[in-house]
Amino acid sequence: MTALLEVSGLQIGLDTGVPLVHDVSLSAAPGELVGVVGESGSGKSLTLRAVAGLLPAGVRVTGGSVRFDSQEVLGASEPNLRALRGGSIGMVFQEPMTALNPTMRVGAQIAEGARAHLGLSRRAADQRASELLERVGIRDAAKRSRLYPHQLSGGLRQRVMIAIALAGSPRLLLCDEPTTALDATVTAQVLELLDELARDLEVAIVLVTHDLGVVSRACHRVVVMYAGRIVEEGTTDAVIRRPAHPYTLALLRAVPTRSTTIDDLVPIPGALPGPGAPLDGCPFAPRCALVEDACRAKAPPLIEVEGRRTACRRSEQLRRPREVVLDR
Amino acid sequence: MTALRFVARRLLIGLPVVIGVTLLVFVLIHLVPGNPARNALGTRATPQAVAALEHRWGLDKSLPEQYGRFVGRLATGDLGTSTSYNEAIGPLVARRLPVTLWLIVYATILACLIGVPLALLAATRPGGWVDGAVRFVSVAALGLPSFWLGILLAEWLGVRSGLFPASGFGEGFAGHLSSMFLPSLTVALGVAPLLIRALRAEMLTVATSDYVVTARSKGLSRWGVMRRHILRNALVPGLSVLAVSVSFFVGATIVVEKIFALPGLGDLMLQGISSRDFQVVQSVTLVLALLVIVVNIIADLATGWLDPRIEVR
Repeated sequence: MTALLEVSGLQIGLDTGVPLVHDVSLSAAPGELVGVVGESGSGKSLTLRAVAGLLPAGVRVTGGSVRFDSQEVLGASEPNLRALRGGSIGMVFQEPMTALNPTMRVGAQIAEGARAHLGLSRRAADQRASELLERVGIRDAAKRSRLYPHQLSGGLRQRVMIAIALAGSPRLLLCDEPTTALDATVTAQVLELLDELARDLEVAIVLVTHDLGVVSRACHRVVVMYAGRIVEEGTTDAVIRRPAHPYTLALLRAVPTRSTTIDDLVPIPGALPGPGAPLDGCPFAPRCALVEDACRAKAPPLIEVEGRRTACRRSEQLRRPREVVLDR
Repeated sequence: MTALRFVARRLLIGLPVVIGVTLLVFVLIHLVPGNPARNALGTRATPQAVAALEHRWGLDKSLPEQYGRFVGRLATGDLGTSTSYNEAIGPLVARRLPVTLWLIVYATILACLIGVPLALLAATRPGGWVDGAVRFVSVAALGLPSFWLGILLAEWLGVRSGLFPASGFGEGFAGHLSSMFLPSLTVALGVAPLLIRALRAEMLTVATSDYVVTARSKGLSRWGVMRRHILRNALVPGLSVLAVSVSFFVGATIVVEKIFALPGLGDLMLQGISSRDFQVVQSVTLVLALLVIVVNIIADLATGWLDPRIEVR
């Protein structure tokens, strides 16, 4: 399977020169769901935004390449980028309350993307908006497309958000914390929908989240980010069952499951290093239980271990976690 | 239907405000020295004649009694009789109201025609030279007093170039449109800077909101994002700034009407004050207060139409 999205060596920094994301590489193939997990500030959302050329003001890509369908996206002209955005690349954002225009009917918000990319007439675009609402599981679509965002529940709003992302028939969906603002039941429904889209429409999906539960339920592969770097990457099964990086393990231990009590949960001591903090060694070293002098001296490269990549020199020393089973 | 009920309710709520304003004006005008009867009869009239006229006009009654009679007549729709024009005030106000309405509506439209595009230009590239130029011009315009700006416009665009009439109301719709241009422009140039600043700031705030990122993620053009997503959401707060400024210049029209010799309510008010015509002053105040209330009701209706989250009821 050839990758549809190929990010390699991506570097992102502030205009002032402070680096935020270091050497991130990831890929996604058609029909594949790739999860990117990490704490707030790990650079996962910036990576996603850089792919669509939608970095916030003051932040820019400082190196590397982003290829979509073998075409370089970085440095592409604004018209070319506009053709990709909303066309071949759809985006789903975190907070469906604030990410939808409050003064526009939801149908019109879906239709405008369809008009811009598929060259549809107003009527045909409205028709498509209703179809897409139905596609994402909203009943009474024609009627609901006349409503405003504040008249819909959080779950319905997130479905509208996905319908917007689908309006231009994308081949790649970039989802930025799509379930964070939703309750557990709705989260499950939205993940199921994403899974369906990947299977039925052969859409490649990159899903950024801080929730390992979401990753374990939905994603085929997972990329774990820490302090703007990839620390571990592999199939979801491998990474979650036998983490090969102490940070991944620590994250797993901080996730409550059905059988955990409050005493079983182990918080990770310390905090993320701030952006631009001088780090010679492994960025996780100050918080790591397995740290030794060599870790602080030189940042470990990503190495292949048991069919996945990890940026830990001591991965073989990691205790097998007592069968970490997340709610599936 | 709900909109109608809303208007009715708001008018009802506005009633105490109107009464309060007339009471205030009533008290204030009686603080000013001067006697309408003496004014009407001239300095050589006998005290007996003045007293007789005062009695006929009810001016010899106590102030609370006089105000009570004014409000009582008002309830029957009678604004009373002007002591200086010697005619019923109702028709007098009705003749002059269209001039002032023209001025308010025309000036508001011009202010929007000037303000919205300039705010758009400024907000498209904040910090650019267009933004700087717009800011400079609007601060300069804000600093110009309307009596001076009005005279300048009348002189340059009216008298010297002859492009527009420098005074009068004109005849017919086209006549009004050209005659009222300079006075309306004078008022609009005072309001537009406020509108520009409010809209520009609001658009820059809206531009950082999540739904604008969503709009950009749809691959819309810069202009499409600006028009469909940023401008519309920025108009809501912009509208309240406009409503406040319009309410404010309803009073300021007095100066502009004087400069351009417009036979409007402001002009009537001035004459009423100078001839101590209490009834006229009170009636015009009443009408202007009502106008302010109506302007605000219209603004609220428009806000409800622009922002579906705001329910008009």
